[in-house]
Amino acid sequence: MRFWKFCCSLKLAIVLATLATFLLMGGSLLFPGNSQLFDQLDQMVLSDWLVSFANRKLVLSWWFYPFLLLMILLLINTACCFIDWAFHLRSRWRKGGEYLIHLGIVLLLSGYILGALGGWRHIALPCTVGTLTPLLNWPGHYLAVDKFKPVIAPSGQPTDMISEVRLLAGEKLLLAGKVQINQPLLKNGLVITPASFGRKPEGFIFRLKGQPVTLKAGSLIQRQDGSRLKVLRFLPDARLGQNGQILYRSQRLGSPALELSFTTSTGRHWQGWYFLTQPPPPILRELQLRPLQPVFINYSSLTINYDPGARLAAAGGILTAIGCLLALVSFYHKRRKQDRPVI
Amino acid sequence: MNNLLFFQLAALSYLLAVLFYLWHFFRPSDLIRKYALGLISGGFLLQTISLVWRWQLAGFLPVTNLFSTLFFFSWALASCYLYFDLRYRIGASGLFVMLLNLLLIGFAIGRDSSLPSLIPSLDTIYFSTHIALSFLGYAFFAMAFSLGGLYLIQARIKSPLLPDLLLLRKLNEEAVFLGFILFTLCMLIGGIWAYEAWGYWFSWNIKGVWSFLVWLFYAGMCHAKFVRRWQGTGYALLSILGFGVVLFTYLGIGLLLESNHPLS
Repeated sequence: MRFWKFCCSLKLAIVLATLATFLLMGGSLLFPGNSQLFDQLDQMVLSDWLVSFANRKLVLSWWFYPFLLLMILLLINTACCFIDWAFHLRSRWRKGGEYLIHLGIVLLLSGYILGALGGWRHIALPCTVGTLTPLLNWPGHYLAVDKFKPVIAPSGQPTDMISEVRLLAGEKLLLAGKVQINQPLLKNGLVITPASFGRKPEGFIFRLKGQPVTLKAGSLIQRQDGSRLKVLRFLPDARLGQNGQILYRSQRLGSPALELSFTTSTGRHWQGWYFLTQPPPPILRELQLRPLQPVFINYSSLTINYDPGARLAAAGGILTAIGCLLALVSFYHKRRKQDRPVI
Repeated sequence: MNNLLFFQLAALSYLLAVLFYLWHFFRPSDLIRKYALGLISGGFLLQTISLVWRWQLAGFLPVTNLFSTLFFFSWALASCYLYFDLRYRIGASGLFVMLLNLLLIGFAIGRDSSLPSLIPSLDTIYFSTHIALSFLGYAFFAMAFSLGGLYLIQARIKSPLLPDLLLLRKLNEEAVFLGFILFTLCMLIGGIWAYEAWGYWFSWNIKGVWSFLVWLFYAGMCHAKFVRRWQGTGYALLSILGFGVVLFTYLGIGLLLESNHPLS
């Protein structure tokens, strides 16, 4: 009984909340100077951050562990207070609003813990239109952007990013719909929101014997004389390493290169790289290739997160809001009745 | 006509009210107190017109830069004071509150008062509600700070012009309670907004963390009033300390530190 009273103790709640407040106050002042560590907190769920980042820089992150412990103890203390109130409902029903807030907070914190342990995040995942983007934190699942349309204001500022997306488990469709700013796609703890957008080079327009052709990965040109040109890969910025291997540098247009497979009209076969900043390899000269301009493709950066505690947290939020309103009503009611001269 | 003209007139009205309260402090008169209250009511009306006008011009609740938030904070504090004075007739206590309000206005004057276009993620009803509740909560915390300060003064000078200690304590507890309720609702709506806009409902950016600290601090205060040792003077000191946390969250982070919160 004494232990139960200790668990429900108001003073215990104040001590725990005070210690947690001071720890978080002090710890948060480390955030601005150590962005490489603390900016990652929003990029992944808390358990991943603790394992991947906090553990490796304990000098800066040690305070997080006692803070989490205090919050868990506060959660238990709050839950005990609610249970104790529920057992004495007949005599304490007038405090219903306040204790509903307690229950709401218990659910919110539990929802957060559940999400932090069992959830995952992909923040601003670049998804090229028409291709499948694998979700590394959810093996076997893919995100497909079928259409993407940025809405640009006359001032040049983007005002919306509309993507038509599909979420696939292998070939099975799990979720499909439109995603735009402040209108996410939601289902069972999954949320897909737009993050940003951009465009990246996917190939080049060439003049081939006077005719314009677009060459990008997968392009195939079958000529009347029987020769055949196939583009195997396109790299927007590549360089030749010392051992002859191709080094991929960036997504931006720098030193573009095409990996080609060419079969001449006489049946001679060649496969190799063509760096567009240099003259074409001798075997390609008969094609009279002349690069004209790059071809770009839009991509939509999407955030896809899974939070198994989201519904629990939402229930907690609703209960807290109802509790706030009830507490407000009962506060003025008590005032009017003068049953509590001092609050 | 400039949309800030009414705001400037409101500031003048508040300044005159402070002068009337000072007058009342040295030469107590019910008439002067009523004039002061009338000036605050008039100022509040003018500031409301200015706020509605700017809202109309912008097409959204104008709270997207420091000037606009100081403007809104000042309006919320004036409305909060009127609530307490009309309900409890707290009289000369207005001097302290309106001085704080003049400080907010003084800090706003000279800052960029333009109405910048809204960034797309802020273009939602959640944004307006989150901000309005947040500043109304802050206003009640500012009121609690003023009442806490007055409690400490009254405990020393025992002036007949100020409300008695019991009423001041009661009002302080009411201000903290109302502020806490509004701030809790603000945090909940902020969570829904963040989930829809960014895919997670709690952000560890420094503004988010300090907002949580504000909430935790005042949640603790809502409990501390039941502990005998913390009633009265202790509670007044906590109200002053709490407003320090509020000011750091609102101004300190934006001005001294960097945050990726949309309103930093």
